[in-house]
Amino acid sequence: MDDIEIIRNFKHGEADAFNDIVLKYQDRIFNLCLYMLRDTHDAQDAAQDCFIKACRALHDFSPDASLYTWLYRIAVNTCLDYRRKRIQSRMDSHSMAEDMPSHMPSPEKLYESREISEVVRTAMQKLPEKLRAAIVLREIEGLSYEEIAEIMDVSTGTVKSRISRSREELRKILVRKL
Amino acid sequence: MRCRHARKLISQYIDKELSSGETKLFSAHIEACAACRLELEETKELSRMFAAAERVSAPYGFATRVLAGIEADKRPQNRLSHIFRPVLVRAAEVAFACVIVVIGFFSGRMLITDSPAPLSAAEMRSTFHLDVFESAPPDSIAGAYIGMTGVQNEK
Repeated sequence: MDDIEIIRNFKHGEADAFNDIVLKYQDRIFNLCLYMLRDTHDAQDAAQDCFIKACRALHDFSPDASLYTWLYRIAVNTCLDYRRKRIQSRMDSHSMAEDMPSHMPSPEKLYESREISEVVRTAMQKLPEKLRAAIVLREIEGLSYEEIAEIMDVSTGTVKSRISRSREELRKILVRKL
Repeated sequence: MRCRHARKLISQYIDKELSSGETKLFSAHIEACAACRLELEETKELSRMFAAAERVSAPYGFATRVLAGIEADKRPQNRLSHIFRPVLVRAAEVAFACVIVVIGFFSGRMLITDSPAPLSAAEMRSTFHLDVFESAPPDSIAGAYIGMTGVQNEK
């Protein structure tokens, strides 16, 4: 079922229509929140808030727009709010193993990718929020500059600049670290 | 192309966002400049790290929790309580503070009325004398001290 059909069903009052949206986008939204916030529990809370806000606003959603860029915009703004509100003093004491992903890769691959993602996530915490959002949307979510511009409500020129600066900062951090 | 300009284009080159003309100029510079070539390779390595980084799925039960949260959000009494709860809590705090002030006021008044009448100046002065030594038995430490020092009451 495509997004337009799901939205139409939702607007016609089908009770389960929003379930389809949650099931379709939960992994991508959660992943985005995790790279933005680093903490698993904060990411869960932010992703949940994102869907609740989306459910409240979906009646006003224009079918001309893309549902996932709209959801991403809500998720990015929710994460930015979370970071502003919370001083992230507590350590990441809740390991990733506590919330096992539903589709497990091989253990070796998992270990390697976890190590890499931990290094990347740690380095990203040193980036300003807007640079982090831009690089996550580009490198983790694989979105185009135009889509990122729509999500972040800025020009494509600003997106190019933010991604370039993010890479430059991350490269310097990782060269020092590795 | 100068190094400063070339380095600004590295990110767009990786994302294939440069025009064909810019790409040719950039590639020519990279061929000739070892420092920019190194920076390009390091930035490409960063992109490879992102590509290899783990994509995490939402935890089990996440969708159920989200849908339960949405249901709770839809309930009208919940929304009303969400709106009015801060007002009610604030009103209760103010009422509690008022009760404490009133109790404090009346109990203070009770203390004032029950207290003995203030001492006169003569009564006050009579409390300054050293009669207290007289009651000390002679075999007590105080009595021994008075005996040793020979303190005489002026009374």
